[in-house]
Parts: sequence; C-alpha cells; structure tokens
Amino acid sequence: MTGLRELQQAFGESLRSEQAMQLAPWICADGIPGMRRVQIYRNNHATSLTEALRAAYPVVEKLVSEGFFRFAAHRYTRKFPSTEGNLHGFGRDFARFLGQFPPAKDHRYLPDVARLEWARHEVYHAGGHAPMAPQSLAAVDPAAYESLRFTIHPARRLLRSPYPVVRIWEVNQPDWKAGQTVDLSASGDRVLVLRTQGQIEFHRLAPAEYRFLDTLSAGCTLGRAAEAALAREPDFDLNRSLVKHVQNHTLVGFALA
Amino acid sequence: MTNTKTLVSTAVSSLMLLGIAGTTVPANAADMEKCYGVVKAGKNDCQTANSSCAGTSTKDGQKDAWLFVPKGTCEKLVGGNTKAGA
Repeated sequence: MTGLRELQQAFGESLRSEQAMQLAPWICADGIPGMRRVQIYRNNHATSLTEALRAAYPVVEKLVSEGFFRFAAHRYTRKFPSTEGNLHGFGRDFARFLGQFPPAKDHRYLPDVARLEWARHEVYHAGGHAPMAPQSLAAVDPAAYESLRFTIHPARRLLRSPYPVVRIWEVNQPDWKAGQTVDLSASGDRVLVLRTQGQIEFHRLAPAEYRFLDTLSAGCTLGRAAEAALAREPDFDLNRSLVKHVQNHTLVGFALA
Repeated sequence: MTNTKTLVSTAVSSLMLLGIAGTTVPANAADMEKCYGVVKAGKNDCQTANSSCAGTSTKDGQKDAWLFVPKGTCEKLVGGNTKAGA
C-alpha cells in the first residue's frame, strides 16, 4: 500500500467484505483488535444502506416481511454497491435485483411494486418546474401545432404493470382501513406518479391516455402522440387529455420541432 | 392525417382559451402555497388522498383537499391550515 488512494480502496473493500484484510496492518489496535474496529464501520455501512432501502421500499418490506427484506437488502448491497455520495440515489436497481432474486420468484409482482415505490421516491426528491403559460401558444403558427413537443415536469413518472400495483400499494398503507384483498388477476395498472405541493399521488390512466403521455415523454411530437393514442383507442379524447395534463402541471413547457 | 390535424388544432386552441380565461395555472406557482381544509365540496382542484380527481370531494372542509391560494392568505381563511389534517 503506497498512497491515499490505495488506503481508501482497502478501506472500502473491508467495508464490503469480511475477507478483505489488506487494511489490517494499518490499524492501531490500542485495546480493541484492528479488525473489530473495522467491523464497527462495516456494520454501520450495512445498516445505513439497509435503512435507506427500507425508507424507499416500505411496501416491499411489508409484503415480504422484515427478515426477508433485510436478507434481500444485504444481497443487494453486495451486488449493487452504492456508487454516489447521495444516499437518495441508492436502491435504483432494487426492482431489477428482485426480478432476478431466486427466493422472490414466487412473487412476480414484487419488482413492479418496487418500481412503483422507486418512482414515488424519485418524484418526491425531483426538482420543481414552473407551470406552462398556455397564452404563449398564441405565438405558434396553427399549421405547426402537430410539431409541438412538450416538456414533462421533472417530478412525474409513468409506470405500467400487468399487476394491480396501485391497489397492492394502497392496501399496504398503515392507515388503510378498507378491504385487504387484492385480486392479482385483476387488470394491470398504468399510472402517472406525480407530486403536487409535496404530496405524491398516483393517477391511474386509461390505455390511450397512457400511450399519449408516454409518447410525449419520449420526446415525440404532439401529432405523433395523438396518432399513437388514437391507434389504441379511436374515441380517445385528445382535447380533454391535453387540457388535463397542462392543468395538473405534467406538461410544463413546449418547443417546436 | 386530416382527422388528427383537426383534433390537434382543436385541443391546442382549448389550451389557449383556458389561458385567456385565467382558469388554469397561476402565473407564478412559486408564490402559491397549498391551503388545506378550506375547500367546499366539489370545488377541490385536484385529487385528495381518498377521492380520485377534480370535483369529487364529498365533504365540506375535507382536511386533505386543497386549492391554490397565494402565500399568506391561507391562515386568514376560516378552517384553513397549511398542514394536512389527520
């Protein structure tokens, strides 16, 4: 070990693995054995990451029980180590991990519940954006309306699942008082996750409306998004959807292609 | 596709009408705050924790329903509170 970088790498390794001993010669024992000192850091490291996951995925935890969740969190932390200083970014791959986690394979909806919770987490921490001023559309040539592209508010996520994930999320809330039954064979959900003044909401969308927003959020033009939605549902109410999503501040800006 | 063109034209025109009528977004949302508990039934402008969307609030003064009001006026409204009720 020659420099600070090597020392830091050895410290990082020893946090992630009990087998990593490179750090041992560099620790003053002074009453407590060196590797026991490292163990204290290792436990704190594991606990803080597990707590971060628990904070982001309370419904997943409730669904699988605390013990299982800790087990999964431990494996996840090994497989997807934190890559940034911001703890709010830790856990973004948890849904993918759960999808490949053999002990969870009987709970096929679990990754999608995790995706919903992560969307909620991201939306909560996302930046803000001023609403659109519809009057400014007056400057656009009506012949160019189909070429308009819209900006989506940073605190919005679209999510689609073959499972009734919103219902699953709802019945697992601490203050939920209605029925606990979830019919997993019920139709899946298409959801707009949004934040209004600090509160996170789930808005279920009809298939065509989902496709409309999904196409717009991919950066496509209004004309393209309208066609995609109309192809899904010939009676799609474009007028209503466009007004609705400007009013709820999902569409917050526009530009010409 | 003429049909799509017409629908798009109508929809964008509707947006501008909303803007002119001033029924939609405030010019500067940063100056606005959420005000709870002052909403009359059917007049909430977004969804609450237990109703699905606009116009579905069924109880007067439902604690988690809200309207946008300019900052500072919230506390002057009878029954208003900047924190959601239990």
